[in-house]
Amino acid sequence: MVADHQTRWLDVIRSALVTATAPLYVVTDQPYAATEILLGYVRLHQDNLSMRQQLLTLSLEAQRAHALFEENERLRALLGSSSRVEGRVLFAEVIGIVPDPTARSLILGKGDLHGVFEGQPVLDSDGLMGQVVEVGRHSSRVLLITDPTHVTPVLVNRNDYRALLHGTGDAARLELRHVPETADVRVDDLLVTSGLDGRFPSGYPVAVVYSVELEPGEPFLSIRARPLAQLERSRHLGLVARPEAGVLPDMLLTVPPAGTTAGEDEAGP
Amino acid sequence: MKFPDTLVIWSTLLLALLLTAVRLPVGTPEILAWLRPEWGAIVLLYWVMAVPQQVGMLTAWVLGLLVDSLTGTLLGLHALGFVLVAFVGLSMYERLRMYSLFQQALIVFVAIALARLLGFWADVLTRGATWTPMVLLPALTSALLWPPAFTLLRALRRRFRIA
Repeated sequence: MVADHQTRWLDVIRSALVTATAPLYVVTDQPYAATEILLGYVRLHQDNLSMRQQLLTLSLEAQRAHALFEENERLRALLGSSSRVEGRVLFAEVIGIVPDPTARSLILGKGDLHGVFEGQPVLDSDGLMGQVVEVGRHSSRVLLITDPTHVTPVLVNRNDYRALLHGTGDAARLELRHVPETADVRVDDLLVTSGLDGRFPSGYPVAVVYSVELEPGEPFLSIRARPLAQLERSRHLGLVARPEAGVLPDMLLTVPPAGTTAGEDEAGP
Repeated sequence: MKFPDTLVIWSTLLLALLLTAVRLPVGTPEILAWLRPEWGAIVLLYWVMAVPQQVGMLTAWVLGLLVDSLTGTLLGLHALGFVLVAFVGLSMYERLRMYSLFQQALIVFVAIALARLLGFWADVLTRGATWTPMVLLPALTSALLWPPAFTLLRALRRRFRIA
């Protein structure tokens, strides 16, 4: 156990074991998969209509976004900063949910063979879900952002204030820890990934703040946020491919390493 | 035709693993997740008690590793717990066979509670878990499940003439 916790020697064994045990999840997930398919037939027509509308709206937005992206790239080039390369997205289906009340993780139906790697960010259509922590041949394990051991470096979208978002084990609650009472964080603030960890791509929505309280006698604010991704419901997820080399070192040169100072750094410009 | 004993035993252990992986629909109350019995430990304890010369610490360890992989816990956490359960079973299987189902269930509770506490302790060290009496709930539900599980597994053992 010490070897597993402190070192990476057992990764090979873990990976082999998850390859062996993931099929069990496929079996136990069958009732849910079947319900999904049946419901799918019932709602087919309705779903089709609403998806057409959604497709139209999104493609209109995509046209606009494309123009903005081009403009952004030109401006970045003018500023001399590195260009943001958006990685390819790999789609995977959830084949199992780990039934442990103290941990939050999922099993995905894609693994090593499909190019999944450890540390890969996982998103759904609404926001960040988590990251891959174990990769088997045909399956992988995803640690969700709500797991008590997961920490996501985020920015407050409104003012670029940097902080660390901790999971709590509660599916509907995340916490910003070590934020001083002078910090400008309000209810309804959107938290997005900062990308400073070099693991999650920057700018993806993660959570919305729903309560900010100062408890008497406590040095830090108690800030709670609700995850945006449908952590318990989404079945089809996107895995973002590794960001192109060059993005990370450049960022590390220009930005002080916020991740190492436990989020107690001052507010951004 | 007689099936090999190992095959039958591992089939039941596989079934226990499957039950471990079953999840409840989204939206069921949290408490139900805590009530989940330690299926692996129940089945393991039965076989240790019934055929201690065939099922022992090694089986317990392998089964525990599989459960660790299944639940994503620290590799060895369930393995150690299950080895402990098997040890309890091995050290008193002769007495266990004499006990009534109720007395056996009591031992099941103690053995699984010990394993859970061991696992919880590892969780505290590695993930900073906080104590809640819920940690012991699976031991309780496992003990309650012991009589039916015992009856079923004994019927199976007699059917396949494992001794």
